[in-house]
Amino acid sequence: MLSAQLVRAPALDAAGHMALDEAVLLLSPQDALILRVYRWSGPGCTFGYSQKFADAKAACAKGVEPVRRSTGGGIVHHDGDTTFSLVFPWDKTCAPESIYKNIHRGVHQALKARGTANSLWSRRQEGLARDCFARAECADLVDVADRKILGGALRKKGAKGLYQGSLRLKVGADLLIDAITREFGAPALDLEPEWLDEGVRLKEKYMSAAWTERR
Amino acid sequence: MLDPKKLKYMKSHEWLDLQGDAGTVGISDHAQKEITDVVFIEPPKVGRTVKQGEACCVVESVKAAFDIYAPVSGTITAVNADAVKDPALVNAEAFGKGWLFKLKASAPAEATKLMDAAAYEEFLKAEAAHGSH
Repeated sequence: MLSAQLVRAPALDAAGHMALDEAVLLLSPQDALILRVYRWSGPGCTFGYSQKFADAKAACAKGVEPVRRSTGGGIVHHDGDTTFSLVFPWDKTCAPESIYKNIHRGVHQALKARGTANSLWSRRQEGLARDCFARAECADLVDVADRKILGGALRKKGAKGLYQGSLRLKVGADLLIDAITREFGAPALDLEPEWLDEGVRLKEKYMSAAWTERR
Repeated sequence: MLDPKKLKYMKSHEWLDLQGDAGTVGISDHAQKEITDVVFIEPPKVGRTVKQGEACCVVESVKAAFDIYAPVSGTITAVNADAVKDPALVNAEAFGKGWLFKLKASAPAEATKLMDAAAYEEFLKAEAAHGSH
C-alpha cells in the first residue's frame, strides 16, 4: 500500500500539495483516516491561513513563491523537511489542542522507538510566532537541544479535519504510519483518482493572487 | 449579554439569536473554550447571501482554523468589527460582545431544525461521553 501511494502520488510544488490536501479533505469519506506523505518537486514555502502575504514573501528564499495554507500556524520552509498530512474524522467534541497533541505524541513515540531522542514541548506561549520553527509551541516536538523539530497546523471543515505537519528530520513514510497507528489506528494511504483530479483543479486557487495575497 | 438558554444551536457549535427575521450569530461558550485563544476572525461580506449550513466565516486559534456555518439562510447584514479587531472578545464574551455576524433570515422557520439550549446541553454531554480522538 505504501509503495502504491508513493508511486501514484506525483511530486508536487506547494500549491499542488495544498490543493491535493483540500481535495482529500473534501472528497474522502466521513470516517476516513488518510495519511499523505508529500513528495516535493522542489523547495517550497507555505504560510498560515490568517498570515500576511508580505511577511511570508519577505521570509521566502529568492525564487520561492509562498503559498497560503487553509490551516493555521506560521511560515514553513519546505527545504528538506518531511512534510505530511492527515485527514481524519473530527465529529466529536474535542479541542484542536488534544488532536494536535495526539498526532505529535504518536510521532514522538515512533521516533523514540527508533532511537531518536525527542520530547513534547509543554510550555505555553502567548500568541503565534510568525515563523513556525522560530519557537516551539505547546505539544510541538523538540530535540535534545530544545530545538523544534515538528510543528503542524489544523483546519476543521464540518465533521472532518486536516492536519499538516513538518518534521525537520528525514524519515521514511513507515515511521509516520507507525506514529498515526499508535494514536488513531492504521491510516489509509491510497488516493482515489478523483481526489488527484480535484487536486489538479484546486491548484488554480492556491496559485491565484486572490487566495495567496488576500491579506 | 444574551441569555444562552434562549438561543438556538448547531452541532458545529454556532448559536443563533433570532428576533423575527433578524438573526445574530456567534459560537458557544463551550466552543470558545475548546478552540482556546481566538487570534483571527474572517467574517462574511455584508450583503452576501448564505444558505443554512453554508460555511461563511472563519475563526482561527493559534494552530487551527475553523469554518463557521450559517444557522439559517439569509443575507448578511452586519459583521462584528470590534471582534475582528480584537478576536479575544470571542473568548471573553461568546454570547455577547463576541458575536460574529448578523443576518436577515430568508426562511426563519429553518430555525426549528436547530437545537434549543436543553438539546444542545444533551448533545454536549453525549459528545463528551463518546470521548475524544
